[in-house]
Amino acid sequence: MKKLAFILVLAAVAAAGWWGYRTWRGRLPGIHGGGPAAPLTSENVPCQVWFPSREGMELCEETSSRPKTDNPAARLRGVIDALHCGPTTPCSLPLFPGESAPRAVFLAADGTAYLDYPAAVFERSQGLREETLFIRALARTILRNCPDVRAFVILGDGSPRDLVSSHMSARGKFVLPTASTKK
Amino acid sequence: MKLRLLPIVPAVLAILASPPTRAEVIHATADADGQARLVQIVREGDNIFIPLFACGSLLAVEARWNQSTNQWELRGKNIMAQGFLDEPLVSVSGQPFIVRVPPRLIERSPYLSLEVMRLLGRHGWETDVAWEPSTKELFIRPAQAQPTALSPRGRTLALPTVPEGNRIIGLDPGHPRQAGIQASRGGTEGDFGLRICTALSATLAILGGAPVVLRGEGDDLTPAEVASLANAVRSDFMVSLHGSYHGSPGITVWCWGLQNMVGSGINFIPFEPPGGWTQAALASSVKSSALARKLVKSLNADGIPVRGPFAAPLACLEGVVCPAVVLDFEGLSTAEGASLVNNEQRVNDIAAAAARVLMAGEGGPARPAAQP
Repeated sequence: MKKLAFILVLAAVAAAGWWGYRTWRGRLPGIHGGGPAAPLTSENVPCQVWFPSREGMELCEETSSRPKTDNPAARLRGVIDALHCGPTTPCSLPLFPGESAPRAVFLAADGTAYLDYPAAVFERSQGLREETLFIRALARTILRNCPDVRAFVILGDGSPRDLVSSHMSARGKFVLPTASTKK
Repeated sequence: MKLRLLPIVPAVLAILASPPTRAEVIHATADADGQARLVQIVREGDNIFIPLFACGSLLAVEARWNQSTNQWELRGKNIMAQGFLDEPLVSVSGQPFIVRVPPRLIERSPYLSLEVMRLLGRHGWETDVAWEPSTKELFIRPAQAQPTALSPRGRTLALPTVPEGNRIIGLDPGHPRQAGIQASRGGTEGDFGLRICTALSATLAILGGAPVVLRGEGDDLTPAEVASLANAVRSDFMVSLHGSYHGSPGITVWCWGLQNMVGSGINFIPFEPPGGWTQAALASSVKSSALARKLVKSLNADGIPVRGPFAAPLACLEGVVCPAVVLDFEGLSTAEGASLVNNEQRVNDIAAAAARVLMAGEGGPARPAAQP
């Protein structure tokens, strides 16, 4: 009798666990990038981010923070979010004017990051220089904080774009420098 | 009595433990090219899922699913779409797309969401996919002829007149007259681009050249269309003019390149296969770099603040088969930067310095016209 009760309790626990898992899975957002995102703790860690400068062709370095996680996809998302919080010093320019948070950030198994922005954020161009610095700021920030990322692709509303904004081609992937070439 | 009830307990537990029943199976009719077929569709909330193999059948292509890797494929004659279950990335003939509702496994079978199916129809198999919930019908019809974001506009372009002269120089004002960035002292990028083109054109004509302004005041041409025109008039050189709101006042000279963008080590790999439209500029990349260096030297000698040359995958130079450069006027938000494009004397100085190089440079013979 005790044995039967034990089996029943075991079955009930297993069934409850399975139900809980399915419910949790059903509530996951559609896009999370590279497998289930690791649960984030409230703990943040500092990260270096770069922004276009107002003058010259240089980037301005700032210290921001991202959630602490070992999941490469979640880390990438945290770093991109930190970048899109915008600069804190007057010498830097935001990556895009106005609201510009990406719709989705997905890290593929080959190390290519797909950064999907609302197409509207590309409509206000500030010029060729700003587009170049936008790509360089993204590249340097990702390179510094996300060792699993090898390249990135800019998408607009989920689709490939002809142009980053109105000058530079976006119909391809930007490959990050390797350890031997990075500056 | 209690013992008799015991066998029921596992059944009750099993019912309680079953996943939330949000999925609804719909026996729908799929109308593909006028042929009706029965398809078992799954609806979960607002999302519709269609079995992968039914998708293959409806699009008349081969469907594959690798159970061990979860990779799915739809393979047509010239088009292949692929991705992984539970991942939002969908590749259609090498072009990446991100979807909100990824393909997934339902009852051990792979399903594509209606969003994916529509995307494949629009960007791969030129079909319109529509779901009618009231009649439970899925329609798959040949797409209405309309340009997509991926395809060139496919319109006929008026070829500009080529004047008499010993060297054809294609001049691109960069943007339509009232488009592009706004300079702080009034005027737009397209406005001053046309002004500098006019000055450069006049100077080149005096020196015996044959300047061709590739874009008129109101021409809303894509970069590919401007490149087509530059190739069609058999340009020996092409100069494209652009502006940046911020930056140090002066001109930055750019040429087309895939490697080491602005010395940052970043490389660009186009989605298109080697030998395609993007790669056309490769043929003249060495001569383009040489032209850019000479322009920097000449502008510098005339006291005009200049930087570069830098290389980047610039859309306005893609597909141009002759040596080509971009002159980017930076710092247009400042009085000094704006004076470079508004002051007539400075505009003429820039035109003179550039024209000297364009008429003396090694342009090389014009190549046969190429089309995108």
